[in-house]
Amino acid sequence: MSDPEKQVKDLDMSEIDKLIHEPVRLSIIAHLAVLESADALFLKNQIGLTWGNLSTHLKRLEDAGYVEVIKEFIDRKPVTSLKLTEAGRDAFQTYRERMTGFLNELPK
Amino acid sequence: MNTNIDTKEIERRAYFNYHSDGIIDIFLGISIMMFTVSLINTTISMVWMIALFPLFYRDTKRRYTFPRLGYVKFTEKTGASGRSTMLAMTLAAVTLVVGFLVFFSGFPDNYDWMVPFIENWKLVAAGFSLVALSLFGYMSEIKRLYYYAVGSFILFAAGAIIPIQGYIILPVIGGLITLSGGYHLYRFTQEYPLEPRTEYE
Repeated sequence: MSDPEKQVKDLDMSEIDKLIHEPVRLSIIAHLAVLESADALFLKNQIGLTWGNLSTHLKRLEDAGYVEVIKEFIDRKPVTSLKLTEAGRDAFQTYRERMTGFLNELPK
Repeated sequence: MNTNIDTKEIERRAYFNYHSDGIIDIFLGISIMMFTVSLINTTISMVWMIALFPLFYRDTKRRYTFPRLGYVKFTEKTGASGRSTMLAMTLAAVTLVVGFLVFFSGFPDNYDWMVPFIENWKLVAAGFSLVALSLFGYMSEIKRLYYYAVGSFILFAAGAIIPIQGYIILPVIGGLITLSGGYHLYRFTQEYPLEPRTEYE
């Protein structure tokens, strides 16, 4: 076995958070990581999703405790904002570090 | 699989989509036109309306932008929030200047210097409009404001060559900016039509 092949075999992806690894959820988390908060419509428009798709992924992130739903009044109108929780922010940061490390270990 | 998550690009795109509605252009254009009318007629009530524009701007955003694009809050750590703060500060500064002019408009002689100034110093006015609109564009990072800056410079500079009354140029600039804003608002409403509410709204 050549060295690059051995290196690939040694790489361990088991520590990668599969919940965040999914592209749509990764995009949702990345958007919420750079914004203080946003509502579902804004996320839908930015990422280019259908309501059904966005709802499913948001529910999974909410259940995992990565995203919190805040009901607030802005300019006397009810707005349902979505915000990344501390756990979500930590998970995103860890994911980025692990993926960067994982990819850097791959042979060129 | 793309793991290169460009958070700066995500933030930049969110910020530009937020300002792609052209509302800021419409208010800027109308402000310039109303300011010109008030210069010619010394109609104080119209100038006062410009001072209320930051409030109207927020209300218009709430009526047209948020229901279509969605609601977003930028973090204070990032550039988008800083740019929004700078824009708000600029609007506040413009309001203060307008308020100052309104105060002195009670003395018509103090107010009348502007029309002959624009009339006789078109190249200075060209430079001023170029710098002012470019500065506004630089602070907001909204690229089309640079085009307005160059356009107004060309119009004023042309006014120095072609025999045209200086105060006519100002409402023309204001009108063109308003038209451009209207076009952007139309495109925005086409791109982001109103949608039915969902469980997350």
